[in-house]
Amino acid sequence: MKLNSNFYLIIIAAIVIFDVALITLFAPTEVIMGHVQKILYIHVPNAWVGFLFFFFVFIASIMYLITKNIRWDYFGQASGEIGVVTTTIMVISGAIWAKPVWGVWWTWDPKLTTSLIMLLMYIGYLMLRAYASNPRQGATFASVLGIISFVNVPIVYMASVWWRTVHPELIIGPLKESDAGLTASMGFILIYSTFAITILCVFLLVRRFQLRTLEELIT
Amino acid sequence: MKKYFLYIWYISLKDIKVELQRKELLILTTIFSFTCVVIFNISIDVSIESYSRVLPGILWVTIFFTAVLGLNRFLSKETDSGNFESLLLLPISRDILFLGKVTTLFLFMIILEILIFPIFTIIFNLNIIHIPIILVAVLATLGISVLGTIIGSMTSSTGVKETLLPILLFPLIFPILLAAIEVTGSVLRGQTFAEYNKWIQLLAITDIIFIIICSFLFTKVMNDY
Repeated sequence: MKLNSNFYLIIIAAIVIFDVALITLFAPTEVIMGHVQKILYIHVPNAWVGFLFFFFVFIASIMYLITKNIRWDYFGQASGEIGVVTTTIMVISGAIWAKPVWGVWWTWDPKLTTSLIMLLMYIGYLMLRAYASNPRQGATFASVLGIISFVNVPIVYMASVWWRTVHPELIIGPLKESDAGLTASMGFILIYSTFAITILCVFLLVRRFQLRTLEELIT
Repeated sequence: MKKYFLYIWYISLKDIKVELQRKELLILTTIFSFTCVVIFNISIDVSIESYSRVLPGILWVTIFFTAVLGLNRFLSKETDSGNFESLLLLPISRDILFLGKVTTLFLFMIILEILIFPIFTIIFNLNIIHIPIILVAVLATLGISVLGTIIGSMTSSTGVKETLLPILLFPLIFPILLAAIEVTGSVLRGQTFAEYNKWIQLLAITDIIFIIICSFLFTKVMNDY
């Protein structure tokens, strides 16, 4: 896993800069929502990466408990940290988008509720590891929590879907389902943006993993 | 198989005997929950019309807070006295130990609810003692006990146990709490069983999933305790 990091860094920087250029300069401006719609290109990729990396945490947790190889724990920790960052970006960008479009920063829509609870669970996952009395214990405890949290996500989603159906919707914006009507160029930019952010986060994951290994060598 | 449950009961019986001698846990938590109910009643202006929307939340948040308080006390007493280490020396599998602790916590919370429900009924002038609510209380309590025991057993060996437990526990029991609040509200609004049946099913399935997963994972936790 030895990376010539500068080489990869330049390539990934190019991919991300091109992505930013695509979003700001070439993406068509949505007729009704205007520029704020462009948040979509940041929001959706970060949501996807968040879910993907929490899935990595789940895999790493199972593998650590089976093999007891501490490198799986480093992998879980790195994935958890990046997952928390991208999920936070997702929640904040969603709120910025929702204010002009829905009229509120926040509503207890099932997707929003699940994202928030998921974010809280994985912040807890990182905290438990950090506060454990020794690294080995931290690794085991965090792995146990990583598995429980992942199993809990679909249950939380199910519960929040039912919960919303009994409560009245706060705001029914005229553009609530607007994401469905993407044009071809919008669809392409969204896919490219997802690719760029996934690549960037995978790079960060590898770097964090290496950094964690080095930290352990020093101590 | 009979022996399995007998051992679980013995583990639980030990905690119950200790508690019966001291009685501090039950007294402390009952007084706490009573204070909670009174504070909620004073701070939230509840009119009769909004009872079915506000009251279930107050009831379950009170039970959750009390459970966290009791759990912290219960587990730190075990770890501080070195009792946990002695229990680990017992020649029984770890899932028996886990289910024993879950049983204790479950019984403790059920007794607490038996005390809280009438207090609630008196203070809010509203009868909340109905069979569906009791059923959902039993299921939700079981879920909270299972998750509380495994999370508590992990946080009790960290330096910040009292604070970390609720932070970790709340997101995990979110669906359980939601289900309990919804069913209680539905019953108070006079809805039929068919309308909230799905919540009870969700609770039952969640309980089964977590009992299986957590008793397996508890073995892993104890190996690195």
